[in-house]
Amino acid sequence: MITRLILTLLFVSQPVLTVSAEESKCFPPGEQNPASSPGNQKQHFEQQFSAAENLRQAAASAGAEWLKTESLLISAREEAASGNWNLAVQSTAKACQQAELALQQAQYESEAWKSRVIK
Amino acid sequence: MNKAITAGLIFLFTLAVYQPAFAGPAEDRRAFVAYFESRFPDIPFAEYANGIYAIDQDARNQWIEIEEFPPYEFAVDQGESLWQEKFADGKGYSDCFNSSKAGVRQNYPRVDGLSGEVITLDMAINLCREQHGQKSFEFGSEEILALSAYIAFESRGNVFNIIVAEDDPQALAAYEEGKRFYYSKRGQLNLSCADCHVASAGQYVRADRLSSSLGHPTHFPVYRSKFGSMLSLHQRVAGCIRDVRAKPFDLQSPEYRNLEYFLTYMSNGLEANGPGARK
Repeated sequence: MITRLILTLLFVSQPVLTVSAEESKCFPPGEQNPASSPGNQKQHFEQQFSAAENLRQAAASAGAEWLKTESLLISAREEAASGNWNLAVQSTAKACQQAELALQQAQYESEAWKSRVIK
Repeated sequence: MNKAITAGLIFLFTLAVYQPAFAGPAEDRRAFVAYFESRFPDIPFAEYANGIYAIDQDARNQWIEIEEFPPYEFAVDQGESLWQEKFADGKGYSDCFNSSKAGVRQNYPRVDGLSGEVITLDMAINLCREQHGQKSFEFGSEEILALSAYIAFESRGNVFNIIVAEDDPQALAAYEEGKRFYYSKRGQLNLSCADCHVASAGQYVRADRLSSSLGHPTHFPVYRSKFGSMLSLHQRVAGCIRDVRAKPFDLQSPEYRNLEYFLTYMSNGLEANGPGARK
């Protein structure tokens, strides 16, 4: 009984790994990251990419990564290497949004699953 | 004195409040079985070992025909040959698994007393090889699936008896992790295992009906006609995880092993009837 109570409390308080707001801000494709110089597409992409990758890793650590997030980032890197900055930023923004939602899902599910247990 | 009474009352209140959240494995299993018995009152308990064939009569008719020439027989034969091979030190699998005659499959997965890890049958096969100086098989490889199919075949008719000792914190923690995984929604489609295999069991998803989770692990590994090869339980779960558009975990990852522990415990009392044949 006591063992179960302790286990339950451990599961209740199980944290979901998060990243700081600055590291993880996703910007929609058309929106410029204020931290990057206007017109500097490479800098904008790298900042976006870094934010998306941080979020993806946080989602993976929470066991909640979505299927295509990593492949979106791989294709973003390929587009960037070819100088297709718009496509690169679009793919990164999609990956960033997916990782953000995956983390929200993990956060919500850390409690919500209990309500689904058959009783 | 008053403080002691107040503290005692708070403790008892906390226990009462948390009671529903920490129902033990035995209570969970009773509720799990009762749900399916109430949902499908015409299906006898033992039939759940047949998976979707307990629910879908058309698929069952096809399966009965398929069983005339079981497609998993090649794997069973290969597994038997592998089982009989001796390791370099003269020992064999029977030295690790006592006797195949008493059945093996129905006792896996189990929790290792030393490491506290869930040990599945596939893992136990590799641990046996390592213990006797042999190289491990890759999980999901033809060899490990063949051995697993042979062991399942030899264990047919034995009743699953997975133990989650309530005084073993490691076993309980693994069980709770498996339960949490099972009921947690994941992926872009935001679905949990339970969404499909509890709430929607028996319903159509495109042209196929969804199986019930009661009895899920009893018949693995299975021959999948779709792939023309054998498939482990973890490969099947990885397929589901991919289907809900989440990134699958590695085969034999702690996540899948804990899930298997939970799921197999839920199916205690059903017969081991692997290997199976599935579309």
